[in-house]
Amino acid sequence: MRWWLRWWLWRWLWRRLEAMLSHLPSLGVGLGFREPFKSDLFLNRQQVDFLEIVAEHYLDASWQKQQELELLAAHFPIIPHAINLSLGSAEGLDTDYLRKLAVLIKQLNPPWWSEHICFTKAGGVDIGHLSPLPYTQEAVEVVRRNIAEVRRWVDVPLILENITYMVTLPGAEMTEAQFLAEVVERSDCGLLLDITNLHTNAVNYGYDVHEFLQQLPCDRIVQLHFVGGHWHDGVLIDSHSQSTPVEVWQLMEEVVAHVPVKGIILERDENLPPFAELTKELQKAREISRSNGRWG
Amino acid sequence: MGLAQTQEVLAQLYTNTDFRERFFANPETVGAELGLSCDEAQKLAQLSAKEVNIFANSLKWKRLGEVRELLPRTARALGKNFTALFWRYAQTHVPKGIKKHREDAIAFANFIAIPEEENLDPPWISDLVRYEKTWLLAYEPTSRLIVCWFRYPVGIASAKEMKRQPTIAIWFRFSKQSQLRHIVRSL
Repeated sequence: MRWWLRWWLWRWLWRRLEAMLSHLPSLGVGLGFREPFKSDLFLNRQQVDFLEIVAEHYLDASWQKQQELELLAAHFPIIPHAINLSLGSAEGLDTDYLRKLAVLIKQLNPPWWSEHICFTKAGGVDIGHLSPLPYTQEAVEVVRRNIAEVRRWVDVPLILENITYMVTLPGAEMTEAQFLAEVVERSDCGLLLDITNLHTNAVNYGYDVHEFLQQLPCDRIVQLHFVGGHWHDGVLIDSHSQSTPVEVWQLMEEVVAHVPVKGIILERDENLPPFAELTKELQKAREISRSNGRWG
Repeated sequence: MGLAQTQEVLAQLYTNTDFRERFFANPETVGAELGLSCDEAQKLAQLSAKEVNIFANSLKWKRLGEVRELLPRTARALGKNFTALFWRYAQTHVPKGIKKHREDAIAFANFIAIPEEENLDPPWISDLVRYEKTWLLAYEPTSRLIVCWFRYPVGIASAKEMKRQPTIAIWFRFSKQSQLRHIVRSL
């Protein structure tokens, strides 16, 4: 392809993405939905602007789970958050999973949906967790190719999340931040910045979060995740089991001050506290957003 | 070595203890078995064995947590034995699919419900695990009717006071969309 045609095409794609991301609605501050706090959620629904559901919980769902989803959708905007599509799998995607996911997303008709920058399956093995990709051009190309396939099934904007990892893979051709930037830019996606994951990796691998943030395409950040983890044998574990630590609040302040994020989600899974503690954290996130003029 | 092959090896390293130990003890030989060149095996051997072990263990602990939630009474009754049995089981089985935690719990229940061979204590444990496994099977919307016999009143009595007494348990639903119903009677 001629250089000027490539340049024109790139500019056109860039403008299209800018327009797409800037037109996404602001959803506010919400919760990752977990069944144990369903009744508390409805008792406190004024304090939760929107919900994120784990898509996998509603694929091949029982009638009762379908009813639960319909009830949630009747009261809250819902963002589907997928965990096992394995966008980084070089062997391609599981089309059965993708087909079911596409049906769910169509049913909910959300403003966007999200997945992770990782792989979870290879060679017939379901690893059972989000596993890091090598920071190589080949991996960037694999994710881009898989996302192009996803778009044949789902036309709702996709935003991609950064993960935590316990293993560093050899053969990196770029830094993690450069890799994330390459992936979202080449695949034309928004970014779901998990600030707890960022903090966790920075602590475990000793890098500077501020430098990391400078390398990210911040204009692509659509949504944030936050929560607290725990320490085990000198390693900070992303267990979604503790209240949000001060470093993560500071990071939220820094990001929200510079980026017009559309939504912030508290993702608590383990060691669930009384619901009032969760709403207190939501309120704090809301105050940070308001003080930076993000939403009313 | 392409990404697809690297990911296949990584998936094995993360989930297969025996493979992991063999690989880090002798990466070039195990790499050759997988069709890797010497250079490729050496490159993969740059992985930190300590990091891979920590990750692999965290995966098994995560699975254990999910299975414990799905077989709560069995977990309470077996105590530490539940964890020990799960580590043995997890060596040979990696679940997959959308409902992998449920599939994992059912496969683990099958693994431990062999009382004569395992000499499990207390003796009613195999009935209890079979009872909890049947609940998991019955939750499947396509499941309309399941009838099971037990030697102990597992659906009625608490684990501490279980005495031998033939018991029948029935799970049923009138249609795919109706509530799952459950009846237990001791004879």
